[in-house]
Amino acid sequence: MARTSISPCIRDDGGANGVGLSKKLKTGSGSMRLLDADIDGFGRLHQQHLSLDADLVVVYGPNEAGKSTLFQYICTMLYGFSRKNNKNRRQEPVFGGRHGGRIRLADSAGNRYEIERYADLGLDKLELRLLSQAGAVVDHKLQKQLLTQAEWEQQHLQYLHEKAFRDVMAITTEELQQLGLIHADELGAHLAQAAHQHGKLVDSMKRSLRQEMDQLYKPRGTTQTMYQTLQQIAAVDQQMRQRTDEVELFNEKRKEATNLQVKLDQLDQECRQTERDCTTLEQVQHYYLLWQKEQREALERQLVAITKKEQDDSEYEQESKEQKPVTSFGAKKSWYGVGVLLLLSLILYLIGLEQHLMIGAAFLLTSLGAVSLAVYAWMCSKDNTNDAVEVDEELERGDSEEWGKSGFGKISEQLLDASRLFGVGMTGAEPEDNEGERELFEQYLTKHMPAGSDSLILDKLLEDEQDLSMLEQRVSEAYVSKTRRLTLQKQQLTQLIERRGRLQEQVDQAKALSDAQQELPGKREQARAQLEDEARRYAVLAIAERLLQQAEQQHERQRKPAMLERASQFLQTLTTGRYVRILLEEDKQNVWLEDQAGRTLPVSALSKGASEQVFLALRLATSLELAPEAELPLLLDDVLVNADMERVRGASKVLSQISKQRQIIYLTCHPHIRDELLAACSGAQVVELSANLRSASV
Amino acid sequence: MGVPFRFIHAADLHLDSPYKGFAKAPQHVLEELTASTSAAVRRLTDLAIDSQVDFVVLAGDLFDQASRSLRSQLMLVAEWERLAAHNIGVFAIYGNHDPVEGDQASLSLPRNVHICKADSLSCFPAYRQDGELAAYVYGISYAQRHVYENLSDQYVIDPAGPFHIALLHGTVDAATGHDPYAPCSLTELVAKPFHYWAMGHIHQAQLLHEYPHVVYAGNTQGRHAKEIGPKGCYVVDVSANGEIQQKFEPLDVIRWTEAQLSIEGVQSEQDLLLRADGILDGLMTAAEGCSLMVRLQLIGRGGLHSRLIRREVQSALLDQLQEACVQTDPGDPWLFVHALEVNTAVERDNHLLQENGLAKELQAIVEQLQQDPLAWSAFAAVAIAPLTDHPTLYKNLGDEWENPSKEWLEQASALVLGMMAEQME
Repeated sequence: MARTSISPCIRDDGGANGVGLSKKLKTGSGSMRLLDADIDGFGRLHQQHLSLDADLVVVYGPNEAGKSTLFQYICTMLYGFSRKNNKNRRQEPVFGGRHGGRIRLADSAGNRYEIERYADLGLDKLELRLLSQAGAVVDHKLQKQLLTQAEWEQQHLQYLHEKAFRDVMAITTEELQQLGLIHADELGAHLAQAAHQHGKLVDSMKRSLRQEMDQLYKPRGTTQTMYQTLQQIAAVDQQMRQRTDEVELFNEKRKEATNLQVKLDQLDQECRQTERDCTTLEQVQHYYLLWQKEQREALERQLVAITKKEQDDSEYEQESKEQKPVTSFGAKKSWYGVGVLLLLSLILYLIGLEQHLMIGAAFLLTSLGAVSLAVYAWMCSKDNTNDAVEVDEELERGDSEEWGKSGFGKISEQLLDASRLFGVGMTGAEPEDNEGERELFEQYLTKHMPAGSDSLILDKLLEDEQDLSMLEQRVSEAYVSKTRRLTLQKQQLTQLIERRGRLQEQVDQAKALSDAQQELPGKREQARAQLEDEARRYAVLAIAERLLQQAEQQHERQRKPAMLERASQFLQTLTTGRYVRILLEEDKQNVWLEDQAGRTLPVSALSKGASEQVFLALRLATSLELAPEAELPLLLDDVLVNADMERVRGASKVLSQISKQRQIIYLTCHPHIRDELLAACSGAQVVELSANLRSASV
Repeated sequence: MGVPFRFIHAADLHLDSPYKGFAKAPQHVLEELTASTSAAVRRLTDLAIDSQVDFVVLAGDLFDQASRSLRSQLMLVAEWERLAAHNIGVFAIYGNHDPVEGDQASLSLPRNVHICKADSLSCFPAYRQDGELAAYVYGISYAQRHVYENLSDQYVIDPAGPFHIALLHGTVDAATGHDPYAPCSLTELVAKPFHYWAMGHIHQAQLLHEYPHVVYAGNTQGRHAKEIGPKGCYVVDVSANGEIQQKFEPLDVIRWTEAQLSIEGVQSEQDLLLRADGILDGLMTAAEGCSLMVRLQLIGRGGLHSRLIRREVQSALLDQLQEACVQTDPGDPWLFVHALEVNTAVERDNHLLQENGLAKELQAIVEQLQQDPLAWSAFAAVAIAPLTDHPTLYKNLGDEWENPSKEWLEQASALVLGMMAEQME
């Protein structure tokens, strides 16, 4: 919005009249008076000049003559054009002309001005010119001011705003009609409000404060904003109470995981041990069977050989002697090969197991292999001990560095032991002596199992069992139970590993929980900040409401007595002395009247006409005290329409009285009211508007 | 004397601080605020590595609460491991926010980290990267939250050290606005033969004394509307003859700040927003790549006041200002107006103030209340009783509700006068 500055010559040196316009106006006394109006185009008014220079101007005309339009024109000249959507106030020209016009007025100091407004120049811009006393424009160039509405109101209208002007300075038929619609019980309150200078204003302010407060909060309400915010906080609190201490959880799970790992390692160890035991037992079993088989075969072969020898001793002797070395050599070779292969594969299998066990197992196998060899050798030795020596030598030659002397170096001893063992069997002496057999087997095993072997199970079995066949049974039993145990342990192990997995997940969950719970305090703070925000606003509103209440009370207490005194005088004149006093019941917001006889009666007991007159008296009294320094004209729109002749006469007296201080523009379509006003007031003047507008122009 | 070396003095990391004081914000803002204290610690590590410091000292309150989140503990250990990889030592004490007795995850700290004990003074040698002894670092951690004794009494140097750095979490000369934990006086500190007092607890960086240096590093990341301006740490260079040079290095990723905008001569809300944009753009330019949390105060007198007193107008304006906070790319700095404070008034030459009887009466009442604190308390108590009578509600309101702020009186009076001005227009 462009603000055109006010020409300095007017402000400072006071121009032709030697006084600053605004200063003069502010400090002057007497009332502002409208002088005349030049309407260019405004509603149904077009190119009209109306003289308004009188204490009381009675604008008379039939319906449709443009009385209300003139009323709007005066408001527009003082306060600017209304927006297009407010057609009733804006009044676009119906019969042509430029929307707008001029009005001349005199301020309380007697300075004369011309205000010019046109809608095409902006809603709230006006041109103000200072006039000579004769009414001529003093000096167009020097005395012209372009003002904004704000500047105009500030400098010339004593800040009286349009709303206040329309609400207070203008009393309309609508207000009276409204009065008729009000229930008798509420009439008192309505009239009390009319007696209230800022009644409408304060009420609408209070209403809007209360409305906002009620949206924010009501002590027992559940739909209000603040209640909902509280609910939000409660929800977050609930979540926070339910949340787990993630650090505790983490530590707990971590500790559990550590303990579990210890258990797991332990079980793993045990499992491996069982596995090894199983292998040992399995091998013992396997080679025991092998040993038995070999033993049986050897015995059978021996039996065959012996039988053969007995039968063909003499005739095959030579042949046998020739073939034996060959056979002996072949057998030697194959047994040697089997032994080494067995040893190799088992050694390979056992790699990764603990060293001493490996050695133990190696010996066991070596011994079993050796036993087989020994059986064969013994068979041969029956014929030729040289062959046996040969075998021995052969074995000793094949002794590789890897297996060490300890393994094969003992072959001869084994041979001897085996010879003895089988010798016993072969001598025909009854091999009933199981203990002897067991001992031999035990010797044979223990000899080749290093001391402190891990196969404690076997040691124990050997220790406990005296009988070889029982031993064998026990070994197989132990094997079964160990295998079962192994399965169990493996299951446990799998379970523990799964549990470890779950724990790791839980540790990860604790971390994730930490992430999720991280947000809770923030969320709570956010909701709390919102509550605080809303509560603060509520507090400001509540304080504002209380301030307004107190200010209003204070203000009304000060102004009311004088206002009521004046209103009572008006009512007394209006009713030709019937009612002498208006009484205001402050708390209950009710109005009472005192009549000539000193009786009081509530306004609800009054007739329609009488209550209108009480209203008018109160409204006139409040209007007069508003913006006393500006003393703007009063605009009355047929407010006496329901009064009888006597009351019209009384009212005319009141208006005549008021018009000595304030210019009154009275609009009416009733000739009797026009005439009564003219009769009652010497300074009255009629402006007649006719339905035929064009002919009415002057 | 000794050898030259460089170290970082930081304090008050306040990991796990919740964001405070505003009701709504876009998700990315909330997320970044939540992560801001952690982000500042990562920047601290980066700075330590980039500027090749020999060690880092942390003067307490590494965590915001005794109950430290697992996430932050893991993060901190990870950062310390990064420092360990660069052979940078860490010396730390715990403060009132994270006393030793708080929740600690069972995590093993890297070997470069040295945490001072709570019961007595700890002393650790601090080495340069090349292994030369640089200084002795001393400190006492808080055992529990409330430590009101003067801890500085226990600080004694070991004369074998070439340079003495004391870590102390406490209040020097009863600074206002912070709990007076471990109070001590500057005179006392200065009298002791330490060379550098690396202080923590006060969140505003400040140099209290030189030779010996008594320094608050401030916190590393602002956490709410009251912690305004750049936050970071000091990089301290100590020369061979003991000269100290320190440089403040910001570490914050989000900076809290305030701006004022006068409504004088402002014709419309659009006009106001336009001016606000100008101011906010200026802030952004000066923010060194930080994201900004801004509290915008509207001040001054002007015709717009009577619009601004309306809550829906305020909300609409704030919405407009906040809508501008969009992040085009993750990681880009942003600006978020978290609060719009309206401290405006009707124009001084408004007729209401001089002419209207009701307005004059109102001003008289306000003036009387402003001068009489007792009358104001009584007046406000009646007005806000509906709120304070509600137990759950009252519990959730701040301390200010016990002593209603006079700001409310001003705002209420500005509200009524603004409404009157508007009604009369």
